[in-house]
Amino acid sequence: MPDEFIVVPAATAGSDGFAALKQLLAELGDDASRVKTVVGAPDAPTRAVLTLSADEASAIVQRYAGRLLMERNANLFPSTNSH
Amino acid sequence: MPDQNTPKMVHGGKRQFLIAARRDATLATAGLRPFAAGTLDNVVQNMGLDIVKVHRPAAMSTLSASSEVAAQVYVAAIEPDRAQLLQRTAPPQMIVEEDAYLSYGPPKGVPPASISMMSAMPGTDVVTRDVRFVVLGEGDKPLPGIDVTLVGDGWPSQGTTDANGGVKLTLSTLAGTPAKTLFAAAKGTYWDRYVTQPQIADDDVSVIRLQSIAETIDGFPARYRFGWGAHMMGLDAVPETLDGSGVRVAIIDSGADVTHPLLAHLANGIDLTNNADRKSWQKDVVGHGSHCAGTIGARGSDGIRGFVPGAEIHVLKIFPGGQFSSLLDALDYCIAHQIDVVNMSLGSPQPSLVVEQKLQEALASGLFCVVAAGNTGGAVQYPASSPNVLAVAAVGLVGAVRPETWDSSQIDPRLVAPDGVFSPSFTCFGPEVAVCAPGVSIISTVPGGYEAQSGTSMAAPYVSGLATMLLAHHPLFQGPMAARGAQRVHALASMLRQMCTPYQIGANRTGAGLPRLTPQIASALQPSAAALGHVGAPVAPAAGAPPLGGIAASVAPQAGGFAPQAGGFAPQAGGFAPQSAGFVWQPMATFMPMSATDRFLYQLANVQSATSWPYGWH
Repeated sequence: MPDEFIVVPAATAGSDGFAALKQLLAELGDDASRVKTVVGAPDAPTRAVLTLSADEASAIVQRYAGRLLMERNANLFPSTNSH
Repeated sequence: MPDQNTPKMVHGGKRQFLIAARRDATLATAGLRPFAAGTLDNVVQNMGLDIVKVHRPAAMSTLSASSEVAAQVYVAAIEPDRAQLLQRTAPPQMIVEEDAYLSYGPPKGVPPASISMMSAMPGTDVVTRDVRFVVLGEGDKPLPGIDVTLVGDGWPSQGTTDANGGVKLTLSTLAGTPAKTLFAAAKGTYWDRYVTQPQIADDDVSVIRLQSIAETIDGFPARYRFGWGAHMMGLDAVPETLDGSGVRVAIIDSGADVTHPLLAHLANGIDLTNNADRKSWQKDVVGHGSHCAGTIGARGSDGIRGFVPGAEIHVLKIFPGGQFSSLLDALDYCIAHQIDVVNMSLGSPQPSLVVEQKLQEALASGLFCVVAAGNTGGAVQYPASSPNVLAVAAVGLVGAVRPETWDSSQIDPRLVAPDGVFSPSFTCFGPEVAVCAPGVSIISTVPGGYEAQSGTSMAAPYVSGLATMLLAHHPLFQGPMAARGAQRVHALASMLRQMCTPYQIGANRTGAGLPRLTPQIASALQPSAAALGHVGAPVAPAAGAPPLGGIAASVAPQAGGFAPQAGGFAPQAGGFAPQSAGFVWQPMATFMPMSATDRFLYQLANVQSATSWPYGWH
C-alpha cells in the first residue's frame, strides 16, 4: 500500500545531496501519482513529498544512502486533551 | 470483626493485561481501519482502568508502521472477570490478552496459552441494560448534539443527544456492580460533566444538567478580561500599552476564525492544507487554532485580553490533516517572513530527522519555537522532545477546576503543590520539559464564542505570548540582544527559565516551573520602538528641553523609523537612531505619563553634560 514520504538532501552530503534529489525527481518525471509536492526552484529542489510503496521507498533509501534523507510523512495531532 | 464462621472465598487479584490496536490484514478484509493512536488513547483512558504502563515506540523506524495506526500498548491491571468481559465484547480493532509470564520452559501448573486459559474461565454473570438520559442546559433547555459516554465493566457505550436532548445507551456491568463513569462532553460555552459512580434511574430518564460558563463566571464574557492562567502569569499587572507591537508571532494550527470579534484584527496567514483558497486560514473548522490565537492575541475593549494583541500575528493553517510536510512548509514560512516566535500546539509520537534539520535552521535564523509537550501522560512527544525548541507542560489550579468535570479527574493528590497548582495526569513529562504553563480549564476564543479546553496545547500559547512580550518590551531585547539569531533565542529561553516559580510536583513534570511576570519584571518592560507608530502629534516637551525642530536635524530614519520633520517627528513604522555627536536617544525604563493621555517613551541625553530630557507623543 503506497504511503507518503518526505525526501530531503542529507545534511552531511553537501551539494551531492541536492544533486541526488534532483536526479531522483528527474527519474520520477512528471508522475503526479508519485510526486506530490516539490519545494524549491525547479532546477534546484530542496524537498519533495513522494507517494511510494514500501519496496520503492526501501530501494531509494539504499540507492541514495548518505545523500538523501527519507522518512514517512507522519501525521501530526493537535495537543488538546480530547476525551 | 469478620464473622469467624463465614467461609472466606479465595479470590484472584488483578492481573496484567495487554491492550493494543489490531493491525493485521484481517481488518482490511473486513473493511475496517485500524485504530489511530489518539483513538486508542481515548478509548482506554475513558474506561477507568488501572494502567500500569504504556509502551510507546521511542523511535519508530521511518519505514515501519504507518503513524496513523496506534502502535502503543497499554499494560493494565484488571480483575479477571472484567478482563474476560472486555475480551468477549472487544471491537474487532482491539486486542486484549493477558500479559503472560515468560519462562525458559513450561511453568509448572500453568497452561501454556494465556488466551485459552481466559476462555476456560467460568462464565461471568453479565448484566446488560438500556438506560436513557436527557441533557439540559441553561434554563433547563434540552441540549442536542452532546456526546455522552457511559462506562461500566465492558466497553464504553457512546451516543449523541437528539433534538430533545435525549440519548439511549447500553450499560454492561458484572452482576451487582454499578456504572463506573458518565461523561457528557462540553459543547459551546458549556462545561463538560464527568461523574464517577453515577446514580442511574432503572426505569426512568436520568437528567444530566450542564452548566454554562456564564452561569459560573460573573459578567462573562464582556467583563472576563483575565482567566486564572493570565492572572497566575502576571499579565493583569502589565499596562495595556505593552501589547507586543513590533514582534512577529506565528501560530501553526487549524487556522483562526477572524469573524470572532476578538480575533478580527488578525490579518496575516496562509492555509497550508492544500486548500486552493489560501485565504481560508481565516476559517477554523476545528476550533483549536482559534483557542490558541485568543490566548496569544485576543484584542478588544471588552472580554479576554490576549498576551500580545498588538503583535503581528501570522496564522499558519495545517489542520485538519497536518503532517510533517505541512509543518516543514510552515517553518519555511516562519524563516522567510522573519517570524520571531512560533507556537506549535501539536505533536506526534514519531520523531523526524527531517523536521529536526529544519528546527536547527529555524533556531539559527532566530526563530523561537514553543511546543506543547503532549497529552498522552507519557513521554514528551515530538517536536517538543527536540533540543531546538522550548517544551511546555501543562499545569492546573485546583481552585479553578469545576467539580464533576473531566478536568477534576485529572487531579492526582500526589501532584498538587501547596499553592494549589497541580500537574494533570494527561500532561507528557520528561527531561525535555523546559517550563510549565496553565493548561487546564482554559477559556478562550473559538468560532462562534468561547470554550474551556485543556491540554498542553493551551499551555504553550501562554509561553509564546510571554516570549513575544519579552522580545517586544524587555530592555535586553531592545538593546544588546535586539538582533535576530541563535544567541537571542538562547537568551530568551534563559530569561523565561529565570522567571519561573519552581514546583516540586513529580520529576520532570514542570521543568524550571511556571514563568511569571513579577511586578519587578513588569516594571522593567517598556514600549517598543514600533509602539511609537501608534502615537499622533508630539506633545510639548518638558521645560528646558531642546526644541524638537532642532533635534530633528540630528535624527535619521532607521529601518523605517522617524523622519525629520519641521517642528517634530512624523511617526513611521519602526524605531529611529541618534546621529548627532554628543546626543543619544535612550528608551525610558519606565512608563511615565504626565497626564492620562501623554506617553513619554524616549529621552534625549546629552552625553557631555549628563543631562537628559524626556519626549513623548500622544
